[in-house]
Amino acid sequence: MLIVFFRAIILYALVIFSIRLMGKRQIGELQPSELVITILVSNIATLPIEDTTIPMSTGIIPILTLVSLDVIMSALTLRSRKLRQIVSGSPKVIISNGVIDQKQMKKLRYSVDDLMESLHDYNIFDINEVQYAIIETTGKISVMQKNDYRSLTPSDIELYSESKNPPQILIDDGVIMHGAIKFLGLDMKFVHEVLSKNKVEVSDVFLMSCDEEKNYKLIKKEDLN
Amino acid sequence: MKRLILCIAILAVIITGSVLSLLLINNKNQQLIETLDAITVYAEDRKTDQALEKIEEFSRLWKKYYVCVSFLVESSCLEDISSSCAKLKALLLKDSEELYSECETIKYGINLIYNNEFPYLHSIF
Repeated sequence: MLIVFFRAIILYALVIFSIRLMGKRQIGELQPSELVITILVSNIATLPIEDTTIPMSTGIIPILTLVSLDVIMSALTLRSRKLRQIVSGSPKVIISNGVIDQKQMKKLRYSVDDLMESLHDYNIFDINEVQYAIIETTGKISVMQKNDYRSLTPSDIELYSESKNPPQILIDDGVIMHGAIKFLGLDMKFVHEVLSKNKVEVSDVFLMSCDEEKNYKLIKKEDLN
Repeated sequence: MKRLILCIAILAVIITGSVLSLLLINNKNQQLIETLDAITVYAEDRKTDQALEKIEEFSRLWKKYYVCVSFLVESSCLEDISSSCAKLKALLLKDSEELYSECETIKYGINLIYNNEFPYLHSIF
């Protein structure tokens, strides 16, 4: 029992390390090669946990090899467009100028239901609203609506305003986020000034956010006892 | 870039480790087979004391080797060799012919460990 327990802990750490090594892209959008690696890693990791007669190396070595190869392949595909097309494929246009490319859809084995389902994700229920649609290499469909159906944006009415980064969390449940302070170009002096102005200690703060113009929001901890 | 270097380093460590483990297995196998041959020769010559000494030596070597190789090889393969190894002393003292077949079984098992680890084309595919 303890062997299985320890093996599970080690492999859990290894799988987390492997997924982190593959990068953030892995969690959100899976390229075909990344999907294969993810499935393989999860499958391989279970073998040495289930069967204690199998040495751990049988699980560790293939996981590290697959993940390392994937990262190396990603680096190579960044340098070579051709290799990128071989490994990940290329995006395919399925609707252009409002006309569905049926040949392309057949080639991709993409049914009308699949297309409509993807359009529903964009709150589009009428195919006439679509100007352009493309299937990305991840299999996700990206849609551009015709101008008549697009939401009005400030630039449409020539209303221009400066774009700013969103506020950052400077104190999270009594813990100072030094990275966020640095990101905003502020220092600890500013944080302490705000705290003394509000007559609170860092440990009393539930949340403090601030933007680049030093507009802050401070929420004190509630006494839950 | 850091990630790429780390991955190349991991692959390099895996390849080096695999080659070194093969060399270790090959080296230890030869040592074990030589000891087994000596046991057979002494047993055939009725030199029981020397044969017993060699069996003790073999057991010691095997115990050390078992720990190393269990990181690489499925333990069920090793258990078969361990059980044969445990019989050697009794078979020698009983002056049984089975001692030779048991030695051959161990040799076969030891060679199997190496053959299963070596990347022969038929093993890969």
